Amino acid sequence: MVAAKLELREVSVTYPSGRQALREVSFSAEAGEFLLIMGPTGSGKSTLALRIMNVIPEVVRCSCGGEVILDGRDTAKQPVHELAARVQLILQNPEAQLFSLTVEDDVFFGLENLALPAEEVSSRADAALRQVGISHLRDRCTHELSGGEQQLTALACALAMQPDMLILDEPLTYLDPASREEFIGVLGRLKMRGKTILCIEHRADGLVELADRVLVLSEGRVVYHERPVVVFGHALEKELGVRVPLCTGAKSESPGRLQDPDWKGPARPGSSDELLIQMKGGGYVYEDGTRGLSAASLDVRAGEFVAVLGGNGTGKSTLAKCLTGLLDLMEGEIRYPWLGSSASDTYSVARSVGYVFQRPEVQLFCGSVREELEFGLRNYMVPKGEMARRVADVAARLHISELLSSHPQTLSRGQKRRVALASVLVLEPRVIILDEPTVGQDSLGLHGMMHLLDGLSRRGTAVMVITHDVALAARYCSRAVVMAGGTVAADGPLPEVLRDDEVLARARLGKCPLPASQGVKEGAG
Amino acid sequence: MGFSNLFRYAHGDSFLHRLDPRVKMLGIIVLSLLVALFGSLWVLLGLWAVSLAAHLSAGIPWAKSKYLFYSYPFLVLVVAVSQGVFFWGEHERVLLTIIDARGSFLGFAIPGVSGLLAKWPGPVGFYQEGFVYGLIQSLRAVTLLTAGLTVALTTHPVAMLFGLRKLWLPYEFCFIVTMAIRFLPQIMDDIKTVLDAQRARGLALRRFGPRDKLRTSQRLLQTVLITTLQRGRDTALAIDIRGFRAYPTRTFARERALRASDLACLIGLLAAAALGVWLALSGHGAPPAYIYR
Repeated sequence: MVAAKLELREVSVTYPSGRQALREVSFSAEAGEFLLIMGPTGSGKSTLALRIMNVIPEVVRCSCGGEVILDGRDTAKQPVHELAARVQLILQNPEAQLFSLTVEDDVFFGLENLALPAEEVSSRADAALRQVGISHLRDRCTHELSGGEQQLTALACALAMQPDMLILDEPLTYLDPASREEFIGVLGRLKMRGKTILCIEHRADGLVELADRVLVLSEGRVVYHERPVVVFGHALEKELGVRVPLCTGAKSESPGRLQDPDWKGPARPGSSDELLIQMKGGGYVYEDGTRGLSAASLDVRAGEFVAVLGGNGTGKSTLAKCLTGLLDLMEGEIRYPWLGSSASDTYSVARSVGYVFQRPEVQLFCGSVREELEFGLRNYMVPKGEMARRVADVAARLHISELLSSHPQTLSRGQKRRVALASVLVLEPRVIILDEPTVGQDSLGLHGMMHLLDGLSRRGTAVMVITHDVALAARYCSRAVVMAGGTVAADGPLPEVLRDDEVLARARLGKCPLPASQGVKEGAG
Repeated sequence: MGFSNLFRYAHGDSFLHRLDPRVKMLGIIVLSLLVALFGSLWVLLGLWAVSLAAHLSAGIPWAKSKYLFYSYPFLVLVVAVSQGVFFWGEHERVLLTIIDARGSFLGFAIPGVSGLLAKWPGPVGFYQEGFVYGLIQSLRAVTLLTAGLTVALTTHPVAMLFGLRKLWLPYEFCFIVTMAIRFLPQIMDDIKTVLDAQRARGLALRRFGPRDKLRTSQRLLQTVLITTLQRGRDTALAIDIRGFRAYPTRTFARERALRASDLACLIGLLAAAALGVWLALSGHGAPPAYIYR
């Protein structure tokens, strides 16, 4: 297998809007190197990937400067389809890049475009599917795959092209911890085989062990380009909002926080006795016969900060939809004691149980951010003066006051996420359910949001955070509800729940990455 | 199982699943020809039995087949009964008088109503000619419905499209249709999520008037359109990255030549069509003469 050497010389990219995404970026990656690329949202990471692949400027027209040299040749002189045989790029959104009806057809697609003989197409597809460990998915429809399966399929599509270099743009975003481990395992094997890999990620846990060097971008410039141990020695989180990996996997690493019997989780005031939601034996079956929820029972009390943990497809979002009244339980019962027995329809429940969806882009549907914030208030006939007060207050707290007249769909993903949260907070709900807050967020955005929720919970609001990110949960939440197979597999104080390996395995949460310190030990990379 | 899943491919490994899509399409054409040529109830019953046997042999799950079976009594009753009453032809064999010349309904005089019914231009009956004609038409419909649904459920859409490509469709058309089929469920999911997001912020359409409903629909469409376009942009990039139209020609790994079993079926179908035409032209299998007097 051949690996490619990459060199960038003073590469700049300016979008037609005038935004300069890259500013004189220069670095090189040796053949067979694993380069981890990090940086806050909007720092130019995805633009860099598109520029290396020559998608910018060939497909996406931008003003460009500098040179991208691949194995001694300027990529500007090679059309994208020619480069595709040597370099493969996996984009952020896995479902958008699978456009055939079955996994096999998607893997075939690129190979057929290269006009390879049918036998070679078939044998390369076999090998790629085996390499990624998804041969069993070969005949599955792409739209039926989970986020993790889609991501692995996208990787198989890229590997089938037998590229010398692989560029991955946030490949782990939608993966649960177990799938994440599997995916990182595949990347490890590719590295062993000598592939040059450029991997863009916000969360470097697990990847840092593979990385030879880390490149940190900020505002389109290279800030650091060094070995992981050197780069993570800087105060990245404080300076740039780059999340420092909690676990490096280095052999010298000290025992994890979980092994410390004195670790009791984040310090929080005791929750109140006021019961806000009570679900008993809740069950829900989808139209296609899939069981989303099965005999699930839990209580939610005022002031709690609860982590709802579990892998893909374990019933977390179904639970949230049942709690918010978007889905009517088919089995069991749900009570909202403070609402009274008559109020159980979505309209009555939604005012007090706010739900922030995983994908903010489909939660925003108004013509401006202001309209978006006023939407719920109008539905509940809140008087105009009160409406203006709440909108101004929440917008200021989430730092979106200057965006009030913007169209929500023109915002960055992080900004959309804040607007989506604001549109729920204006209703002053007693329970807030936040579905996977980590998606597309850098460290500053994520922790800003979590601090705000932490403050609300300390003032009596119950907060439930649905996440794959065990480390995030351990930083803020005192209670963990673990979902597995559509039911509540564990519910209790977070440290106790996270020490139960059997439950973690059932819920596809993998090994829990909670080391004693947040620093990176010498030996990594 | 929602109604939207009815026409979705049902995985399987039956003889019909393995049969070349082009042969299956020819089968539909031959069956259409035969049901059009013959009007005899017995011949049509036979053709329906053949299509039903093919359906059952494919091992299609009941969740998908049940809609077909539910449609049988509905189709037969609605078409046969309505034709029995409204058949536009010679009416001689009255099976049942619905309204007679005196305005009685099914033989019963209804005070206040019979007077009005008596003014109806002529009696209304249920005629044998119409009923039999309705049965013939409904048998034709259920036979083609059974065969069409069986082919749709046993043929992967990609195989179907590429079967057509081999016959006459350009590849670009097949590719666009494939993508449309691929992303349709995604768009439906987006619509549902936006509606859920609106409900989660207190939208209860039953509480609002038509203007609010219109505004809500506009917001829904706008968001789904933007999301679809954004996804389309990523998809277009992914297609380019995988070398779409890199060379003047491309290969098609799925394409294969007709196998012996495909060829045998092909010959059998052509022979059935030829035999059917010969029999029909010889006057066999015609509808009862009294219908078309």
